[in-house]
Amino acid sequence: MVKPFIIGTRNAKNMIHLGAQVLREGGSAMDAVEAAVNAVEDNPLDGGVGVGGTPNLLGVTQLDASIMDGRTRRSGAVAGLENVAHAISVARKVLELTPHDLLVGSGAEMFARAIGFEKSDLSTERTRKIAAAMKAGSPEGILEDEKERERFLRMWLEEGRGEWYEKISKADWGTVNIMAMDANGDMCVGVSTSGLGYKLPGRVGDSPYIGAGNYCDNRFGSAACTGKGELAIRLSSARMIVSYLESGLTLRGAVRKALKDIHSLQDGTISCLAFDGDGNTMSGSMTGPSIHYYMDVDSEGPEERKGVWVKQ
Amino acid sequence: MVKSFLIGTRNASPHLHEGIEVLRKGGSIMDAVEIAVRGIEESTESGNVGVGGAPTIMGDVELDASIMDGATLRTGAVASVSKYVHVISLARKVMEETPHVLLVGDGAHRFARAMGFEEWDLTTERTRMIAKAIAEDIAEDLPDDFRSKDYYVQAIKSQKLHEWYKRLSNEQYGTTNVIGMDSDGNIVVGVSTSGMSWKFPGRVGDSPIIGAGNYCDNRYGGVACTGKGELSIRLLTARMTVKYLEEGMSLEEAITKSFNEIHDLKETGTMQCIAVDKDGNTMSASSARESTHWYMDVDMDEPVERPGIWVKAE
Repeated sequence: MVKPFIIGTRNAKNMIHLGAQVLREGGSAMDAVEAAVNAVEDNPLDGGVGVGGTPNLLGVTQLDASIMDGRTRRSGAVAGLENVAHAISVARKVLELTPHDLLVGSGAEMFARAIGFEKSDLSTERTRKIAAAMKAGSPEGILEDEKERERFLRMWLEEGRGEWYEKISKADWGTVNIMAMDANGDMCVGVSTSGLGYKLPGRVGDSPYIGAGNYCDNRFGSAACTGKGELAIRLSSARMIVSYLESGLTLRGAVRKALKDIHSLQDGTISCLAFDGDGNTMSGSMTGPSIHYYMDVDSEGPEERKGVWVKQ
Repeated sequence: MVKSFLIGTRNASPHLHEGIEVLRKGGSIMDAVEIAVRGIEESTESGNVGVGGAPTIMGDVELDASIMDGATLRTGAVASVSKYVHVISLARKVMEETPHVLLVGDGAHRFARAMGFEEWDLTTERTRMIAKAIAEDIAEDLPDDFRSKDYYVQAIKSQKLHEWYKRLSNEQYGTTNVIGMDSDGNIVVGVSTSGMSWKFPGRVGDSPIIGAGNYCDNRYGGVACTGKGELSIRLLTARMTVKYLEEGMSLEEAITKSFNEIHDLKETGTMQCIAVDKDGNTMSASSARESTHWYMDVDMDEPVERPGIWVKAE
């Protein structure tokens, strides 16, 4: 029998102990994941998740999150959520209280308010500075112009604009992935993010996309992704990792295969985190050494574990 | 070599010829799929796609759509769009003009305006009637403005709403699926819907979720789903069916395996799909009834109905 444990991406290093504490007290994998993700969401210094998340092109922070239950394979997710810090908790409520899997935009915020989530200010000095700089400094004055049409067409269609966008948005993503297995062998994966920095308003990446950025099935394992979410969506990467485990690949082999598939698109990179039913853990990167953090119910602190660097 | 063709769900059959016409004039397979789906979106007949689609509990019609290109595995999607009718075209613009895959809600509206799309009132006499009738049934004490926050809170907590959902779950959902293949073997899948009737505002089903309701890869085949999207999201039904084709299964075997997985969830609700393989064979399936799909190629004057399979619970 596998000792209950929790793992997370680099930005979760100092938060997974909160989840480990929940597991130690006999809590479920889902409670553990939610507690740890909430702490990352509350951290204003983390510029890619929750409060302080990098704003979109209009200077507004919009959050995406999902949570999946490996026993029932039910999931809940929100996307384009504004003014609520604990996006993962709203996602969990979508799973528990609605017949749906994904709520987006103003509908998601209305739902959060209706079930009692307070309005919270997601901006920090850093995000306000970014918003102000974009308002003042972007060559086309993309914020104050009321003529949406001309503005966006200039941005996307005129020469050079796409490059500008590529440059400012490069590497500005910082999704958190946290996943756990509890004493019942139940698995849960939680993913939370403010998405790609300077994204188009309403852009949804892989984080709330079940199968792309988040998947688990008690029988086989769990997987989650960060990075250029558009790629994970095109291949359903998290779903494929779990499916490769089902086909009999090792955890390392499954992660390698999924990231090789991404290489074949030749359009950017993602990273991923995964574990299998035996409690083996793994992470993968396409651009450099990969690590993740592990704690079980007997750990005193987070243990750094090496993942696999999947080269072209 | 196959003749270029389109297949579609029942609600697509009156519009397949519009797509075929595009092919005859030298248009691409993506153009053909888009045009056929646009025809359905503009028609008030279907009741679950485009204008006149099923309303949310707040009375708005919110559309979801996606399109995928099997040659490049590029894709575009939009969700929760209440002000524009041609969401399939908007989804294509997301694919072609942005570095993103999915835009939702107000952000999608903003993008549509930027791309020069014409605003559209998606409600009809029928949708307004339905919305009012549902509101009266699920709210104990209906406020004058049933679009208020009070009504929303009452509605989502109402047992009656959940009874409605239960009753709905064995109905045919009304998403439209169109899949095209050209003589070079390029596959495009288009999906468009107003989603589940009386859904919560902002609810997104499988239609714009690549892998759940829509997937294709020229090397193996293409699949699109309709039905209770929450089921295909949990399994990534379209993606898995294409993967089973990759593993060497026949179209019928791949679909049967996917649908058995749906049955294994032991949830209420049904699933339907249409599919093609790389050789141009076509198939459709239902988890709950006889299944058919409509086929039309460039040499035909009108679509023909083709039988699919009924995958029963084992």
